[in-house]
Amino acid sequence: MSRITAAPPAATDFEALHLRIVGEGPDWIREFRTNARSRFVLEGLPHHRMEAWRNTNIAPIVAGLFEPACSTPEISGGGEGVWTGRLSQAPEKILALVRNNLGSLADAEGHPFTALNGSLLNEITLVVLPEGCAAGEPVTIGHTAGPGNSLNVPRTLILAGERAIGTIIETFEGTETEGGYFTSAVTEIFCGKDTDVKYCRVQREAPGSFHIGRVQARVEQGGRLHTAGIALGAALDREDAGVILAGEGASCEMDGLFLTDESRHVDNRTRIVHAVPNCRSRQVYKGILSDRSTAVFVGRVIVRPGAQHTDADQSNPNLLLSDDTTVYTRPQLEIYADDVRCTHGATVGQLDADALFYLRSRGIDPDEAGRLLVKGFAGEILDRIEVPSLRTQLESEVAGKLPVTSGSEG
Amino acid sequence: MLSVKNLKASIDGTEILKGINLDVKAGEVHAIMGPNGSGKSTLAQVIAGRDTYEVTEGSVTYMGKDLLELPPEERAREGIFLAFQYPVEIPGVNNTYFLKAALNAARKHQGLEELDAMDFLMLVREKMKIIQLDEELLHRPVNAGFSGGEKKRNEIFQMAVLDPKLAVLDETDSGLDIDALRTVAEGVNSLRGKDKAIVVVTHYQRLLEHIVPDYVHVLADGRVVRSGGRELALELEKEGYSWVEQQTAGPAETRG
Amino acid sequence: MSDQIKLERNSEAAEQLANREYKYGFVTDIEADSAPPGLSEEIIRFISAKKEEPEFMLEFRLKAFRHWLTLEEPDWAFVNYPAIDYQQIVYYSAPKAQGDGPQSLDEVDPKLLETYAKLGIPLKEQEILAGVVAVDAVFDSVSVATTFKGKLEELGIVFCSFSEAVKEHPDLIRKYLGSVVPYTDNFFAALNAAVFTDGSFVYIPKGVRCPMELSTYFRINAANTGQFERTLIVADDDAYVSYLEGCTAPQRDENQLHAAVVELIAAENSTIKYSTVQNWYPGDENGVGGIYNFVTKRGKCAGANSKISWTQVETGSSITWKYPGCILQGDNSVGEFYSVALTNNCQQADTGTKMVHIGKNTRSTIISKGISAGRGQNTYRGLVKILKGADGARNYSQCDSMLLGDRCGAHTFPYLDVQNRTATVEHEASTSKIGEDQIFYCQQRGISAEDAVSMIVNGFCKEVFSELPMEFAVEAQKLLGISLEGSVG
Repeated sequence: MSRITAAPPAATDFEALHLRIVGEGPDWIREFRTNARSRFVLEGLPHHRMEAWRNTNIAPIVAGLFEPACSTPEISGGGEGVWTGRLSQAPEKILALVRNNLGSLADAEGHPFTALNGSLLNEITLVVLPEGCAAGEPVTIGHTAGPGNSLNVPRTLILAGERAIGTIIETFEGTETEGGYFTSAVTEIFCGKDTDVKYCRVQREAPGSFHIGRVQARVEQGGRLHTAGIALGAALDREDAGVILAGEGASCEMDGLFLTDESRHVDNRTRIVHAVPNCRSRQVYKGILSDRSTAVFVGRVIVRPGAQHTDADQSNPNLLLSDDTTVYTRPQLEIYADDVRCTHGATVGQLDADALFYLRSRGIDPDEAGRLLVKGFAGEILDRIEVPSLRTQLESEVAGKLPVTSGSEG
Repeated sequence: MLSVKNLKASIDGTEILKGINLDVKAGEVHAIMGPNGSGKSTLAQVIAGRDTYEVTEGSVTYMGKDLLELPPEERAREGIFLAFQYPVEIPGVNNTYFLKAALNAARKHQGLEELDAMDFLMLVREKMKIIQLDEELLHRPVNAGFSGGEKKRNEIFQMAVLDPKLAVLDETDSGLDIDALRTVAEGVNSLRGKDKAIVVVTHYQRLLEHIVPDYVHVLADGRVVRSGGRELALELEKEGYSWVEQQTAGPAETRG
Repeated sequence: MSDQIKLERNSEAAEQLANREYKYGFVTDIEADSAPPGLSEEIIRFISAKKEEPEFMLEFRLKAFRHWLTLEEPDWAFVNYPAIDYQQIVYYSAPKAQGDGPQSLDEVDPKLLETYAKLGIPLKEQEILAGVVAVDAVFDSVSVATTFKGKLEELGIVFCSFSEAVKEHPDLIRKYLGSVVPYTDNFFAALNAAVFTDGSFVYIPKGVRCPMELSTYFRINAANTGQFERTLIVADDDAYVSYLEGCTAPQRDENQLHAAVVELIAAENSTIKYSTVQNWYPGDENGVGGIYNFVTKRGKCAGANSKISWTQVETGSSITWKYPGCILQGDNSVGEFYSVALTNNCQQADTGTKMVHIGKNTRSTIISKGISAGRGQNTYRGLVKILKGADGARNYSQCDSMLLGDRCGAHTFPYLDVQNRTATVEHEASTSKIGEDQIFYCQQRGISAEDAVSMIVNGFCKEVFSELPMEFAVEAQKLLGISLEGSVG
């Protein structure tokens, strides 16, 4: 790879990267990449003057010099009846499903990084829960990013047939390297009629890395989806999570927890569309900020015309633990039906002084009291993760990341 | 005063009232009893003009007028009062303000002068004594945050202020303890008069110990299956509604 | 007849237009009654000359204009309208001579008169509102106005038209003009700064409590303040003033675009209360012909313990775009925003507030009530920004929406930006409708369905109305009822 010295400072030519793998894979994949690439060219790289990117500066990504890397997901669990694996391992029956569904939820319009992911697509992680299947154990998908300066494009497709029940855990990690790496991930989740799907996403990328994630789900009649997004790592993390409640009686619960420290930046966007009547959605995204970190939450609930008896709640409580943090929160409601119950709320504050005092008056030292309260704050989200091993692990990870000085100034 | 003839009404195509006959004259107190689902509350709502019920047959005449032709507010202004089984909460709308608007709407309709704030307040004070309503409730939004008992008292208080000719009390006793029941009943009794009539809709006999009816009608499956004096209520109390249900299993009676 | 503002604006084209000589060879003619349509430096010089303004005003206008040329019309608001051709607008026309408008109330749209009657507006005022007579023609002859002015003068209060203030109090204007809403603020504020023709000016000296509600209604020479109005209110230390803008009666205007600017400055311990009832023509059932109301209103709590309170009732205009805000600079200063916005038929409103907390222990309260009916779209958009130094800042926001019918929309877009950990920021929102059971209950008590809706809606807005001066509040309630007519099935 040679650099042309006359050109402006080195940066990745994202538009040209797909040429490296242009001939790889079957026809439909190549066509998929070409279409995504056209979309990416059309969208261009976002900038902070766009409403959707106002509070997130992607300049470090734009300035970085990245090399596409192959995705090598580790997939395990599931149990009897569940088909999991990589695209390269998929039998024809599964391939047909993939061809029909890939990209149909995670529309790249307005999402340049979804387009980028598509333009460089090389591997797909597949989870298929057939009709009526009850997965005996959680499916675990582990993505480990390539070396420094790698550009990773993990792609996951989860298909749950009618009445299927299952839990999927998807994790993102990497090793700390000079220069950092960049992951642009896309996950699509199809929940058929009367399904019960739980999806937990843990982002623990290496410090100094960049993570841009997209999760898009669709829930059919009577289906239930619970998502939990836990963001613990990366220098810059942007997560777009969207759910379409497409059939009556569908419901989704979205939990989020983000811990930021040092000068990290986490930007969470959610978009729930109530397309039909009698659906329910609930979102709780909690932020714990310390040091010089910043966090953004933009959550939108859209109630389409005719989606009567919608029941939607959304909340974003934030805890600021240091003087130099900044939080931008925008809980948003967009409602076009009159017989609905929608609430949203956001709060920003520090630890409750009364509660701190109460604990101290019982002999608990201030730091410990602060930690207890923060743990309790995070606990509301972690307690809802139904996989005990994961919950315990996350609890200790979260505890380990909590700053120690929280209570001493109370 | 009120004459209901062969009244049939349905909701979403399901027939609830299957030919009700009822005659209420001025000065009378009628009790309508019956098991759950017999159509008691439907009858009360249809008299008040609730449009979720479709009247498919029959007639209701009130003071010589075809009641079914009138919108609910006109019926109210003509002197029909329904004490709701579940009084509706109206957040933001002050109870006193609401009542004044209601009273003046009726007075205007009757060609009387509207009451000004002072006269209205005096009337309210006077009526409050009858029903022992906590003055604080006057300043709260209509029924919002009221307890079950407060809501029921508020209904009777409104009745006292609006002074209707025909009052229909829909399960006014439900959710009241014995003391509250007595207060409410006393309130109702004080509003009785020879030019007025009261229809008490109730599941239990206990309210009738305090508001003594002249006639008792038993409703089952949308029809009046028995009518009689107050002793009928006592009989019901003893025998229970299963006795009525057995009767309805036989050939339908159509007389009221 | 009302000119439809023509479509299409393209800033490049505008720039070209502005940079070359005016196509029609327009020469500044100070004797002319009005400028030809379009906007150029020449037109701005013409306006300034017409108004006999001092040099600093011309400079202010020109700077604003040059800046405006670099701006794009904002598109982030939740409103849709055909593009405006800014070169088709006439930016200056002399006050209407008597006889241009309708000659008597007989010539006025009967629908409008019907509304006046419902609001109980006296005949004389109806004539003013319908444009049959000029305001000054009435008020000059009414002794109450003169007495009123004399009383204020005794207290040292300045209350006059903006033009008059530029001549009589140039120092105050020079000091405060653009100090809260600089011409660089936004597209419409820049446009206003370049071309505004008139407005109001208020100055309350130290320690003076203005003894009466000041109102545009009473302002002498209020005629033809035009579509680009500018208001500046300054309350010096320990002063108090309550200012009322607009009136409940529907106002017609042949100018479709309105872009006003209001600036408030509150010094130490002072309070400014600013109440608005906006009822510009909303257009017909299909939204044709309504006013576009793009307003920039902002107050600065410059001194410690100062307070600025905005109350607005927005029922008119086909499009409303306004965010009255407070810059809470002084320690312990307080900002308040109470709003009722109603959209019916095809109206669109994108309104809310901006509370910027800079000083320590600053507090802000936001209460917003949006009512959507017909095909109306109602958006709350509000920013609460807590800067780093604003220790102990507190904000509470409550945004409630009520929807009447299933073809309207209610949207809530709060923006909370917090950079201080000792701050407490809370936002709550809810959505409700009027239940059929509620309407039936009212009907059973003898109240008509229409009155029931009006009663419930007014109850919904109670917290805002209680902030309005008494008479205004009563009128505002009636206004809501009238604005909602026909929206109940």
